Amino acid sequence: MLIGIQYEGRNDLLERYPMIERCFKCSVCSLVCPIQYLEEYSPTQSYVYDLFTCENPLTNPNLWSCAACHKCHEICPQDVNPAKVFTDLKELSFEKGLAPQGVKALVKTVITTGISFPITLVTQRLREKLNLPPLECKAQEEITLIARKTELEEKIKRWENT
Amino acid sequence: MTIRYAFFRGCLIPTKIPHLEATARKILPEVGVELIDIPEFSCCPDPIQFSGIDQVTWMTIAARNLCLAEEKNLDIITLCNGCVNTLAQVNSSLKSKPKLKAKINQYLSETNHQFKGEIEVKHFVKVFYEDIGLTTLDKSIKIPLNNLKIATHTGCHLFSPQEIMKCDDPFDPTILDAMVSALGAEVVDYDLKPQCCGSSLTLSGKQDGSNQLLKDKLFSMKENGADCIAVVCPFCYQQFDLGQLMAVRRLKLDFTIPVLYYLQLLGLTMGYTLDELHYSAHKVRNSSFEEKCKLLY
Repeated sequence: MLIGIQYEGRNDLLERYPMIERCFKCSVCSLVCPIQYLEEYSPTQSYVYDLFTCENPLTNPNLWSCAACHKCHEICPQDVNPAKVFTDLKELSFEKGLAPQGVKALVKTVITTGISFPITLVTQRLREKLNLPPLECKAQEEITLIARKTELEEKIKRWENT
Repeated sequence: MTIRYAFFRGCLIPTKIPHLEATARKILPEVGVELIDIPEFSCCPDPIQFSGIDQVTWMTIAARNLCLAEEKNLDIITLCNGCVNTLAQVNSSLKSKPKLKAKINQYLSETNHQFKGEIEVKHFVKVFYEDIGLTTLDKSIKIPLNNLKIATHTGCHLFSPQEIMKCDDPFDPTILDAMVSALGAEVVDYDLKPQCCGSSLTLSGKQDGSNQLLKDKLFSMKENGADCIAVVCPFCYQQFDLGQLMAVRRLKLDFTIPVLYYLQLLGLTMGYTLDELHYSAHKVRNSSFEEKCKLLY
C-alpha cells in the first residue's frame, strides 16, 4: 500500500511494523471491524486504511474507538496485525497528551484507586440489597507505586503542566 | 469434586452490575467451583484502552494480580472476557520472554511481589469445558430449558489473539452454543453471530454507531426466533442490556430481546426463579420471555 502517513512518527512506525506496507486495501478487515459502523467508514474507506493513511493518526479521534478485538488481525490475508499497530499509536497519542478526556480520566482513576470504575454510594447500596459485602479495593497503594516506578505518573504530569 | 480458584471479579461487575457477582457466588459453588476472594486484586487493567495508554504499566499491574494468585498457589477464574484477555496475554508473554519478565519484576520490586509464572488464568467458560466438563454439568440440571430459543454471543476478547487464548474460533464460535445446548435449550444460529457487541463504540462515546450495530445484530437474532441472548462477559451484557435500551429508544425499534449472563441460565436449570437470579435488575425485560420461563416449572 502506498503509505500516506506524513506525521513525525512515520519512519519509526514503519521500522517497527514493516508489515503495514503489505496492506493492499482488500478491505476484508472492514467486514469484521465493529468501528466500521461509524458513518465515515465504508468498505472502500475502511477504518484500518483511514488510520494508516490519515495525516496524523495520533490526533484522529477514532483511534481510541478501536476495540482491540483482534478480528482484523485474525482475518488479514497479509498478516499486517493492525490491532498491534493501533495499540502502539494509542501509546504515542497518550504520551503526547492527545488522548480523549475519558481515557485520561480512566487512567487516573486506575492509578489512584486501583479500580477502573469509581466506587460510589450507589454501588454500595446496590451491593447491600444483594447481601454482598461493601466493595473496597486494597490495591491502591501498590498501584500508585507501580505507576511511579514505570514513570506513567511522570508522563501524566508532563502533559498536565503544558 | 471441588476446584478452588482465585476469584477475579473485575471492575464492572462489582461496581455497576453486582447482581452478576451475586449470581456467580450462588451458582459456581453448586458446580464444584470454590471461589477464593483476594481483596488485594486491582483492575486487570483493560485490554482495550489501558494496553494502549502505557504497555509497561499495563503489564506490571496485570503481573501484580497474577502474583497475588501465585502466592496463594491458585489458578485464576474470571467472569469477564476483558480480564481474562489481559491476564492471559500478560501471563503468556512473561512466561515465554525471560527478559521481559526480568524487566517487569524490576518494576514490581517495591511492591514485594515477583512474577514466577506458575499459574493459569481461565474464564469460567474454559473452566466449564476443560475442568468440569459439560457432561458433569448435566448432572446439576434439574429443569432443562426445553422451550427456550437462545442466541449466543461469546464476545471478541475470549478468543483473540487465538494463539494465546486457545478458546474458540473467532469467526465461527461454537463452545457457548454447546454450553447452552447442554442446558436443554435450542440454540439459535444467526448471521451476525461473530460480530462484536459494539461495547467499545459505547465506551468511546460513539452512540450512533453502537445503536446501528445493535439494531443489525438484534434484528439478525430476532429473525431467527431468539427468546433471549446468552453472554459470558459483563461488557457484552451491558451493551445488550443498557445499550439495547438506548438503541430501542433512539431508533424506535419495535422489539426487545432480554440478555442473560450464562450463569443465570444455568441457575434457571437448577430451579432458581428469574427473581432469585436478579432478573429484576435488568434494563431490558420482556413479558413473553418471562412467561416461557414460568412454564419451565
